[in-house]
Amino acid sequence: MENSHIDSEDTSITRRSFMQTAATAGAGLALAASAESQEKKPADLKVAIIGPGSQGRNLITKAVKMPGIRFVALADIWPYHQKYSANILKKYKHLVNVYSDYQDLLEKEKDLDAVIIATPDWVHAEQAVACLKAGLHVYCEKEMSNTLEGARKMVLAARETGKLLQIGHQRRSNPRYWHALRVIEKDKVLGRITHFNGQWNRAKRFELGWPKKKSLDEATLKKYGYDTMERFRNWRWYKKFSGGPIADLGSHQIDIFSWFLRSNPKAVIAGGGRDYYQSSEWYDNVMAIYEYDTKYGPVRGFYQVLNTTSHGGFFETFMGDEGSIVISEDTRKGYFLREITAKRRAWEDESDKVDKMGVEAIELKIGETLTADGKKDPKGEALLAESKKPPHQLHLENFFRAIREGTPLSCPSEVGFETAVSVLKVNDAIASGQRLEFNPSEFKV
Amino acid sequence: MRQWDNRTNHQASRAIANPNLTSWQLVAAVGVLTIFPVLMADDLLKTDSRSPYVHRITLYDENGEAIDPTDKPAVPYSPSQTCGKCHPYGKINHGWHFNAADIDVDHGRPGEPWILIDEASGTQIPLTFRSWPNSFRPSEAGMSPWQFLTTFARHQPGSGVGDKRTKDDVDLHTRWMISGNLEINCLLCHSADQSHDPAEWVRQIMEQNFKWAPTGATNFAIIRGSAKRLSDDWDPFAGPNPDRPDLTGPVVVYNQAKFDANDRVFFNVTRTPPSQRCYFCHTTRVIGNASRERWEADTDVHLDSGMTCVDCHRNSIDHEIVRGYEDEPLSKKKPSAGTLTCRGCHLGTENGKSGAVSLGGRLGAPHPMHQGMPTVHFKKLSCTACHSGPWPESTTVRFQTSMAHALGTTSRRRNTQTPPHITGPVFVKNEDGMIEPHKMVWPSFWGREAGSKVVPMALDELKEAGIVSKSGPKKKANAEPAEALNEEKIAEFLGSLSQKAKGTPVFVSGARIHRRGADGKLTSEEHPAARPYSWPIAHDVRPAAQSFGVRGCTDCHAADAPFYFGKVFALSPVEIGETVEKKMFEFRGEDRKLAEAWALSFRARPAFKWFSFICAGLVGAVLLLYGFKALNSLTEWLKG
Repeated sequence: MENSHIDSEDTSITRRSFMQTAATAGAGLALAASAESQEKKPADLKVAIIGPGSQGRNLITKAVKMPGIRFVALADIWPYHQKYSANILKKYKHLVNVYSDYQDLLEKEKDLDAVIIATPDWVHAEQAVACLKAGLHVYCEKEMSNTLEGARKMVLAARETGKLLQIGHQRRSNPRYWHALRVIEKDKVLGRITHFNGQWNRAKRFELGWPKKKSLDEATLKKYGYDTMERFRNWRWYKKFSGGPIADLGSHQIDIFSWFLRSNPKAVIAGGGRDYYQSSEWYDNVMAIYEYDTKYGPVRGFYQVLNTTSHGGFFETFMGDEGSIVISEDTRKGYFLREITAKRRAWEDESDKVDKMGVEAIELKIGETLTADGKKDPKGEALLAESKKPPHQLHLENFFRAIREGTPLSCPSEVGFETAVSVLKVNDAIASGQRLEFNPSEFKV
Repeated sequence: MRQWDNRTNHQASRAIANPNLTSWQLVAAVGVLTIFPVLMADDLLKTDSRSPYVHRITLYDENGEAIDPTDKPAVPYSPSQTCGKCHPYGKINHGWHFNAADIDVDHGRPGEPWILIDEASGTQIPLTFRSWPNSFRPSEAGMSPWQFLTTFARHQPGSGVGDKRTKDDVDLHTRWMISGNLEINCLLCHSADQSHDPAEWVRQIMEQNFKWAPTGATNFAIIRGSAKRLSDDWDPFAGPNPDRPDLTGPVVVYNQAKFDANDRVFFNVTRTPPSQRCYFCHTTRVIGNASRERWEADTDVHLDSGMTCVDCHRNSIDHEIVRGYEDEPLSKKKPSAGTLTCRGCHLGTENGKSGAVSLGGRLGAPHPMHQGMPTVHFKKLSCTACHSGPWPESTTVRFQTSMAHALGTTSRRRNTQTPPHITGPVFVKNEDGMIEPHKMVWPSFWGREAGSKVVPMALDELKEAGIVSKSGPKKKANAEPAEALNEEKIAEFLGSLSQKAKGTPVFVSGARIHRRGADGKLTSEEHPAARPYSWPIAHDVRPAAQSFGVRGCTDCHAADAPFYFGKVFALSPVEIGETVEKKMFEFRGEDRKLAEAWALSFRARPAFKWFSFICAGLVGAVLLLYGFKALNSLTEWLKG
């Protein structure tokens, strides 16, 4: 079941385009630093954000420092979020118009180029489609929708309008992942890939609170589809608003499995439950086994997401008959382990080693890890510098560059859709208690 | 009423910021802002009694909303909003403890500076925002207000630089937003409750939990988490980070048992802060051989007799505190401040503008006799020269202070070698030409020399050059000692520092400037940039029986008297060659031979006295003889 959007050459293409982006961004930053103020220039992209909450601010604080990006409006139904985020933007001299309703924003802001959407999953489709139809490019946080129907509408809207729709699987723009993929595909350090696993383990969660005086009134909550303030704040745990932890967290990593294996899954079997947080609607722990048919042959992998322990954090592991690779957005994790029976590479002596539970592993260092020919990647040093940027910044840079220069998106809507299909099926598998197969047509829009 | 005031002020501020205003709106807005403090002052609740007001009060957050201790997440209380309901915060924050960064203030005589320390680079720079000679402004050492605050706010009561955020880099804005304002922590001084914890205030500040620090220091809440390590997009209402529990943001946990049914708490406050409160930031201790255990040493004679710091160092609601020296700037505005000096209390003042208190004897101060003391001493010496600080010995002693060494915070690593190196008492002339004892610190820093001027390099530049560890300067006084610099390393670093920037790289330390010669070796000489910074010692005041000179003139006027010939070593974090040694008279610009001759004269003084007495006796005898003769002649003449 071939993964449709990236062929074997994509790594280098993406990296090349990335390097251009990086160079442009670097030069621009220097200019920005010398500027007295960031007043609007003709070449600026005018951007609005819908949903500048916690994740929205993550994106704002990255994008606001990019040259040529100018925030002009924001929308959020919670005044607290409006005020807090507008204050951040104001400090950077981005004076924004503030709206409660995104529809008012679209109606009144006629000079926009792009919109960033960081609202709860259940409104992504409605908002993204509206923005696309308003002629705007859209960066939408993952999960692109908590329903496949919604996700499909988003893909169709992007196609119909010809506007860009980037989905927030930011690992796709991360040089660390490109480097790992290069090591796997070009240097073939894993031999025949047979298995993978991954996890996102989080410490016991606390309900998101809010000072009572900052509560939204009942009418406002109802107007925007929330029963209570508690549900508005903790939407990730309710089926109406979210796909649950497997979508929230797992989608990032399941996306990586499919990307690295160049395929979509063939079947999934999963277990999970509300064993710890009975007040939640979604499963607080999920364990899934995926089956893939890949160019390497059958690959089977295990993935878990837990919300009661931070043990091990989050990472992805790919295992082959000659070695295994651990990679993560957490920059502390990234190394290669060679099987003792596999051929020793000449370059191994030159690479930094780390001890992994008594076994010597080779650190995956961009720019420093030697390639199969025993040489350093000539662009490695620059990539290393770029990889130190916050992950979301890289993904946003990819989006804005695509708008300006027509370069490919790292995660267009079709990719996001395929991932959504792979992810949301896990919830179905848990509910049914069955092994569920994917029909290749499910991944098509 | 106060809420109306707030709203009006806010609206006026917004109006001024709005460029689309009509002129009359602007005038109205300015008018409201102008009269606002007056309105506010009139509106303040007050009791007008000597009896303390019992503060069972509602707490308010930074937005002026009442604190509900059951809120999840709960928010910290704001002193400006809580105390400011009845006390004019906007006036208080111009007081002495809060106005260091205000360039419009007359900063008066030098006080203790903040001393930037970095052991790895041998940095020891006296910093102050105030215009005191031989000190550096923080910006001259490359410190932004944010860096200054995160380094030194530990022993400050809030506000001041904490309000100077606008001068910082825009990228620090999100850090400020996360940390919040460092408001005045009124309880730091005014708490009468021993459970109010200034060390917790320090801990919170070092975690950059500025907004939370006043709450954390109370006994009705604890703060968990740290703003310092949070990412810029941290959401104050998001709770702990489930992926990195170690990166949890500040969380308030109120002790709900301390709140009454109306969510009020008891603030055990006092108008006159106890001396123990002052000591947290104003402790000085002698270290080394001259130090004494606490039980052996007395404290200031005034405190031993039952007085408190604020008996003399008073202030009105504006918090312009009487510093307690003659002709201080405050006494121009408030003449009665001049009666709260040594002379003012013990001798009275001559201005007579302050009524009976001008006559002296304030607080029962005894009138000193100074019998046999030549009056020249009162014209040339301050009272503190004889009465304050450690008893002068042949070599100055070393001090540690709260501000410089973070005294008041627990540490196992603080020892006698912990920088900065402060020495004293050194008898120097003040701006009025009066001799007084000072503490002294010698600057030590990497700088750039252009002409006669030497400007310190920012620590960031030193970091790039590898002179400071990449992790930055050690902000704690109890940090592990770094590998020592030596002459070779200094010469090597001077060679490695960029020559492109303006000025030649130099290292200033131990009273000398060190340059890298053409042969790659270090050359050293004394230089104005290496002069020490000093500030007066006022306490502890010794009793009259232990005043300097009580044993006679030779306490000061002798060939080995510390007052003239006491040794002062130019102490530096870095040892380069022999430590420069100076004698006390050198700091006063006095001539060595004259000083020695004058001292020598006191050896012969007893003989001079006997000679004078004998001469006077002989003259008297001759006169008496002639008197008798005259009397005899008169008697003969009367007999006829």
